[in-house]
Amino acid sequence: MNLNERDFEKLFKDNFLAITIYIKKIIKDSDNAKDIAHRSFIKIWEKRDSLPENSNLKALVYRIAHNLSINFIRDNKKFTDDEMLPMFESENSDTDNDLIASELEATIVNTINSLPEKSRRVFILSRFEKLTNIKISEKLGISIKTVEAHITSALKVLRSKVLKE
Amino acid sequence: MNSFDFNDINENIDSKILDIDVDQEWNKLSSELGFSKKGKILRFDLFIKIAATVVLLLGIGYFINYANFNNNVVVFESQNIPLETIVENSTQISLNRNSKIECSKSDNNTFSVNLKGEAYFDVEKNPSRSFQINTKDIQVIVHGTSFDICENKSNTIVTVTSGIVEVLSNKIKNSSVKLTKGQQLICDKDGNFKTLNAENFNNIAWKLKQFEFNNASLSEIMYQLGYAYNFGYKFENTDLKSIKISGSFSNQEISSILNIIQQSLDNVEIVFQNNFCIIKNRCF
Repeated sequence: MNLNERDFEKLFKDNFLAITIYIKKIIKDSDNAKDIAHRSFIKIWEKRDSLPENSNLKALVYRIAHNLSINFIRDNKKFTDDEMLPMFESENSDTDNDLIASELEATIVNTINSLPEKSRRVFILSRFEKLTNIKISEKLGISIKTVEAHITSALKVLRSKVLKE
Repeated sequence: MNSFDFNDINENIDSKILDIDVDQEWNKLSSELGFSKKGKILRFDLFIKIAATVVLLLGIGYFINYANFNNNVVVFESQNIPLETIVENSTQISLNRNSKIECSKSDNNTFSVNLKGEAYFDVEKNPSRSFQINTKDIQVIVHGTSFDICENKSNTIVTVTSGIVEVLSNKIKNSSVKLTKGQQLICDKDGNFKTLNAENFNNIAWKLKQFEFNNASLSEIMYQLGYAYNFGYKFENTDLKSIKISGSFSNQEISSILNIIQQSLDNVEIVFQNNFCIIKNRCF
């Protein structure tokens, strides 16, 4: 199919994060997940001429990412014995759920990253590093009221973004 | 969705994902694709041309830098599929998955290769130059022969399929062993050598596509075939894994190997499509 660089860039930017999260769910390793995500997009670009017109590229990237992840698990059991085998052999029945969850998580990550810097920092400390509001206020040198306000506004933004999707 | 609890999300999202900058990743990808494929070596040649032009323009001051470029180190790196390369006119080096070689030629006509991972070498006989391979633990001197070097976490294995090679340990002085066809050398982490006669070449089937199975279980056979031919597989019934088979295959299509295995067993059906293989009980 006819895929130009601009459309490819859009495909990449819209989906890279979700694809990386999706791969991470399969291979349980975030560094390699990024690498495999890159290779999935490269495959699409290389194969663009042999794809049928109107292909669903997003679905295709997910499919390639899935296959590469399975290959990755297989190739990395080179020096271990049977212990990885069941993981590879059992087909992942949760594929659809994983896909939806990955997109949702990507939306969340994008939203968090688009928050104003202060709010973003407070929110990450609170929800990911599980600090209490008091600890955050001490760490950042702001009042507890401000911490609460940041979290409330961050949650508000997140809720509206996530529910809209 | 209304009861979405943000306390749940930290179970799934880790900070590495939060740190991903999509624009930066895009820049990485677009420069890698360069929107003109064919990679590093072409660009390296171009680099030499540019460097040579610079040398001509700027004169003697750059001469030393140019001499360094002239050493011509060529790097090949494979990722998840094996990679075939040809260096020095007709020497074939096949890289297994996730391996890397750096080839360089020095003034005294020594061609040397630094290897990380696993590679199979088919070296053309040429008395006018010497050919050597260096890995972390060993040095191999080649005279016109074919062999495989595999670096593992705990040891390094050299398997010779034709001719003679000489292996030196990097850790133990004056340890030199000559290996001939069919011999295998295992070098452990401390640099000690152990030589033995290879029972088969199944360990380098990723390159040779030669298998010899002697009363091997179906699960082991499928593992070896899947690795060599790059496909996935699944046993529908785990009892089938332990079926024992003997036989040998040499350079055959994967479909014909699977066909032969299926025909030799009367209760097994092997379905192979889309690069995935399903092994199940045959239904009558």
